[in-house]
Amino acid sequence: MVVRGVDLSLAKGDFLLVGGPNGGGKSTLLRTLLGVLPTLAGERRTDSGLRLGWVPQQVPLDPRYPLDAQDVVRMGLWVPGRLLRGRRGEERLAALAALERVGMADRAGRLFGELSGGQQQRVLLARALARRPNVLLLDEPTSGVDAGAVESLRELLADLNGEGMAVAMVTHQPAPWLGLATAALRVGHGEARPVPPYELHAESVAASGAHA
Amino acid sequence: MSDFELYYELFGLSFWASLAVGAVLPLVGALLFLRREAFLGVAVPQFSAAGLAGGLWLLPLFPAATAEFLEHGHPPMLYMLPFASGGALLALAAFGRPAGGRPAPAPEGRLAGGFALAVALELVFLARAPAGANLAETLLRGEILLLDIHGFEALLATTLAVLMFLVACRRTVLLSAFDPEQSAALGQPRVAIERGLLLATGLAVGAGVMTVGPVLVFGLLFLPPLAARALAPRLGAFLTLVLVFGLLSVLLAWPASLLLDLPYGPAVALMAAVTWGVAELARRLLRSAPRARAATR
Repeated sequence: MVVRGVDLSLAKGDFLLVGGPNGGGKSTLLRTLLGVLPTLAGERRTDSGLRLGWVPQQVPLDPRYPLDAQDVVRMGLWVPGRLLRGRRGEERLAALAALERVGMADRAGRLFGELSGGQQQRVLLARALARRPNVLLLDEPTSGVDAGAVESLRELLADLNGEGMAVAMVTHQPAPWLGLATAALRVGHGEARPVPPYELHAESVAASGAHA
Repeated sequence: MSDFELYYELFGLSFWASLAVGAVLPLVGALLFLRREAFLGVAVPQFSAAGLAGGLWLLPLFPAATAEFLEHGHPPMLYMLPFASGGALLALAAFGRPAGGRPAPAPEGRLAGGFALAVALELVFLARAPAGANLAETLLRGEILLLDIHGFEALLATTLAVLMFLVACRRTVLLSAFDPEQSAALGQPRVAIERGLLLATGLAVGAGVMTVGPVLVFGLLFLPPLAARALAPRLGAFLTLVLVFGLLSVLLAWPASLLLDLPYGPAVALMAAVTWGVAELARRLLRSAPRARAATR
């Protein structure tokens, strides 16, 4: 999917919602912001001090694969330049602190593949936070998550955003984030268009009504 | 001279070569597992064997290699390695995840077709290379070759280079296998490292196929990681156990091969399978013990 007309910037304290129909190019846009996909025209400019945090929708994994929650979070600290030897003690403490922040410290030793969808999501969020990012990208963080977990995530993101972290989130359910969003982008039919956040919400409500 | 000394005199270099292959191939297999590309284990060694057969077919075009073949009964390993590794690389490029790409469903149809093509090519090449057919059949049966010092050096250099790459780049390799997008978020040079991994896999499989045959490569790529997965609680322990089980399989296969007069390659695969069975049994026992204690309370 090619998305045209993207003109956006993320600065300290911004909270961007990205919505639109399925297959419209939302994830393509997010992956381009992440640097996984190249821009076909135009450019993607970043500050030298950029530290990206990434929370995918899910990571498909064999449940018996021997990766525990702490292993997954420590992967968030594997930055280039420390390929030969990581500082294990330091990594462990940072990973546990990040798990504590998302309320998963008591499950640090549990196999990642055996955690529920919501718990996996929190571990992936801890992995993103372990590096103390200044920009956080999230892909459908509330997909398959119960209302309590959505509320916890909303409180956590409100704190982080209040501390100055910029957030960009792809979501089909804009409602929980309307109080935090500073901007919104509607991506569909190969085009990206800035819209007021409540318009995304109204479209989402209309779409659920149409499916009901 | 004792039996042991006689065996060592004959198979000493091959013994050390088997340890090198036994250390590297299971680690490569573990990474293929993590990348959800274990299905490649079917095609890659077969393509490597076809490449090797192609090398034997083209042997008359290379007079120096032909002369060595006539003198020692097999071409120099440095001649065979590019063909065996080239075949493996071709399969990796055709069926594997592109460097920097996302995990994709296994291409079963193409893989099955490719496997049939590789078998056909191997047989055609061998039919056209009668001078090399015996050697190739020996390899396919998994009979370990009597390595000369040059062959041993080539194999050792290849496996050491692969091992050093895997150790030095393990974090990028592991992370891009588990979650390529997170690797990008951290700014890791994942495309270059993944291309390096493809090359390392091709070299390791090529070295294994031309040394002890595709049967050993099949066995060593995936059985030790399966055994390690049964017991390892964490990633670090998993990689250590993969190495231990790989080395254990090649070591146990030596007495099995020499005392029972079995071809070495199948003996390695059998020992690796036994190790896997024991590991699965141990996992079940370890899981059921706490339950049984709880039930008796």
